[in-house]
Amino acid sequence: MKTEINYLNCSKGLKSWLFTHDHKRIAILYLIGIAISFLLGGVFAMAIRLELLTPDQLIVSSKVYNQLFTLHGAIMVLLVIIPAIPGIIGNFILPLMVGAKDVAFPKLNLWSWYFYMAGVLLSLYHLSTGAVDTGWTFYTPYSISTNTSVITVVTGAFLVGMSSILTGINFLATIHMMRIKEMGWFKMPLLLWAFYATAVIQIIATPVLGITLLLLVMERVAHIGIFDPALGGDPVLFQHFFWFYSHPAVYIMVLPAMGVISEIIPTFCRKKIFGYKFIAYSSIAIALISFLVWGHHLYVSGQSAFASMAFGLLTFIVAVPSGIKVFNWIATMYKGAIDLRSPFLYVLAFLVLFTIGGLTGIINGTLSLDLHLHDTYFIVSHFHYTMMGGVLIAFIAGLHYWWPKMFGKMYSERLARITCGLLFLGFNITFISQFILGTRGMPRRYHNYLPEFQSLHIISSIGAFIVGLAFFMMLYYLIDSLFRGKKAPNNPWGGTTLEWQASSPPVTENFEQTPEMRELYKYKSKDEL
Amino acid sequence: MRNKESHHIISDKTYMNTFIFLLVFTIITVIISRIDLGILNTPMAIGIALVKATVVALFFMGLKWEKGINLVLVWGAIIGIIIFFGLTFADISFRGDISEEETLFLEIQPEFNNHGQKGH
Amino acid sequence: MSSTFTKKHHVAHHFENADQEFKTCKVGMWAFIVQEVLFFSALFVAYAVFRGFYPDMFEHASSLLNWKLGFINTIVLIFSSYTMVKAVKSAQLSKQKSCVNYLIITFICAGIFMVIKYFEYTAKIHHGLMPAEWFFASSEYPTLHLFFGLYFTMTGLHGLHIIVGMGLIIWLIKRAKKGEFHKEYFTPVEMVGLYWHLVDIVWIFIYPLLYLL
Repeated sequence: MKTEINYLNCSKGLKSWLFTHDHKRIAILYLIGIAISFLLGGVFAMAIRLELLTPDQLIVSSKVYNQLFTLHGAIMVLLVIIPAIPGIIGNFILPLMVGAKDVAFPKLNLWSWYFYMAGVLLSLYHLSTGAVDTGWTFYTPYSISTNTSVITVVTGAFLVGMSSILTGINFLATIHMMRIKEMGWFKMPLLLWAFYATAVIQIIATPVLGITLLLLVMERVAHIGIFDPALGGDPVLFQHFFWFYSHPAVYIMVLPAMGVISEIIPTFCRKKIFGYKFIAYSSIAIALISFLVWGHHLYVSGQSAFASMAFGLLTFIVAVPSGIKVFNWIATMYKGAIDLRSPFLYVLAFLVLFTIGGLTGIINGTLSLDLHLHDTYFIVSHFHYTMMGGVLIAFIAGLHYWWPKMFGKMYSERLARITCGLLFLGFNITFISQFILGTRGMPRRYHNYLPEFQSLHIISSIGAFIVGLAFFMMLYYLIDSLFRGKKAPNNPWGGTTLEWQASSPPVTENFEQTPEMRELYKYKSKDEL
Repeated sequence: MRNKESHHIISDKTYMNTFIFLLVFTIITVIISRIDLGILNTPMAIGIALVKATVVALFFMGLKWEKGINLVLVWGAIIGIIIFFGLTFADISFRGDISEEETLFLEIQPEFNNHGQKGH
Repeated sequence: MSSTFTKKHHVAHHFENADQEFKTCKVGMWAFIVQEVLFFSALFVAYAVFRGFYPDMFEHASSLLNWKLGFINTIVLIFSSYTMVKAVKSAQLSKQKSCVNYLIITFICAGIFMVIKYFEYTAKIHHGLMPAEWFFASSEYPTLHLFFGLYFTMTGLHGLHIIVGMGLIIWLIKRAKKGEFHKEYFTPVEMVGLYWHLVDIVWIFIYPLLYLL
């Protein structure tokens, strides 16, 4: 039986992959890099939760503990959550979804991946020269004086930032200029609105991270002094510069995630999405308002009371468009013909977990409450609910949704369902305990803690180990599908967007015949499929 | 075959006038800086720089004839910078300002009066 | 008199036509310029913050810079922006020789800028007017090193962008000599032109803020 030629087997050898211009191969390259980073970040997480089983030292010293939480944070935020959905799902699906042969700038796309991998390699390397212990936020003046390899890891972060900027430029240009003629702005899938809004943030916010990291290097090398109080500088200025990027960055994370959700829900409810224009506009609104709220990370840093008030008010506003989306998604499900296969189960998990994350975000954004909650486990739990329960789960949902398209194989539905349940259970055990720990005063980033907190820490760690188990199961059944999975049809879920008209997996040029623009939400019933 | 409408070619006269304008205003900004206008020196220098930058953007970079997304991107950058400056200075300019409530509190608990450090 | 030797441009396979390719490149370039602007912006915020904290020190420090050399550099850069637009226009009109010549003049201007910069830097280093790590000038202002930290960072980063620009211009000169730019295809010249004008704009702000105020 003749094997069909597709983007995976059309050429062989390492060079054909490392020098590819094909957006689909670049997506797979990102998948490998991000999977490695996630494994590393996950190992550090397990080490942290193991250490925290007892109030005093169990397996590592305080210095090493500081390094563990710094690396877990830096790797997960910069090397996994920010690049995952744009790098993997965006790169693979976006050109297919607009009906194009590739992104606007394919060579630049390869360079995005090179910069990303350079960041990964520098981060790995720096572990051997003195892993950083500053917290992933690199606050001055400690990040200036610590004798760990700040410059190496910050250079890696700078390169990863460049990767993100170039991807944003590529996606903005692709969506703007390369949609097929019939795909007007309000006929394009919501994932594209999501990537468009994300690109705006990537282009405007990320360079400020770049210059901030450069200035930190200048501080360490030349002692320019602007962030060092001993030299007449202002450490809070560092925080302003850092969070000017890092708050919009969380929307770089979540907007693509929301885009994925907006694709999966209508398909698995076989129903037109409720409030298409509201979801589209709210993506743009989130991108714009995200720039106005960074000071809510500085409430207890010595920021002026006036600024704290201003940022507090603005923070309340940014939650509104996200809330609109959640309501629209739920309304889409109402009276839909629901298909409970695994991509949709992950979507349901997202809806619960992201909502909890978002609501606790409002609590943290409330100035009077944050004075007590800041730097406690309540904050830690909030951002895990949004970044992990939200973005990571959405990424997993998307990975499962488009897996048949990307690899031409179906994974084990049974194992996927069990894993989803295990992940949901483990996640909530881990982090509900942390909400409680936070409200009872357990500070974050603390190696030793008061004995009264131990039972909750033990519960949280058990949850974490369950989560770890779930991820190993996922790794197993996904890789297994590549070898023993059933051959996937072109359109296993009955989607109506253009990528489902390509073969599974697609040929290098994406479409064997010019894709036909069909009505976005006109679903065949399950029997017609 | 490119049609003229898809790309506007700017006239030599526009380019020359822009260049002369920039030269003249560079000389003006230097002259003004040599005169002590007190508090006005800074806004004048920044104002002239803004005018020069705008002229480069409009005529050398062709923004005057651009439409759509390219203009939106430029406005995005401008607004982004305004927000960055504005909200950062919402902190910097109002540091240490004490509200009425805090003043009342300090009257009741004078030992907190040394910048909030008790007992010092 | 334009050269008759031109190299035909092949539109990249993923674009439908030359017009889409040109317009898409322009969108990408403007997006890149936006991120460059935001990149430099934080330096100007830092400048504004510290000028606000130490106004007398800043006024004194700027008198230590050579405003005349800075003035020459400003004129040189503005002139180079002019020659750059002339180079772009020459390409748009298929005037190969004048395109090459204007690019060469732009390159020379950039070189002059860097030479002057070199003299300025060596003078500051000689007098110990440096960031705190290497500062040894005597001054009544204990935070003078802050100004010079900002001075070297801002002008240094700007100078780096000039050097990159010089590399891009050489690349353009090589391609222009091969007849690759003409009225059907002048995209790289126009895109590098946009980059060059941005570098000019950044200096238009640096000069008065650091040297004149």
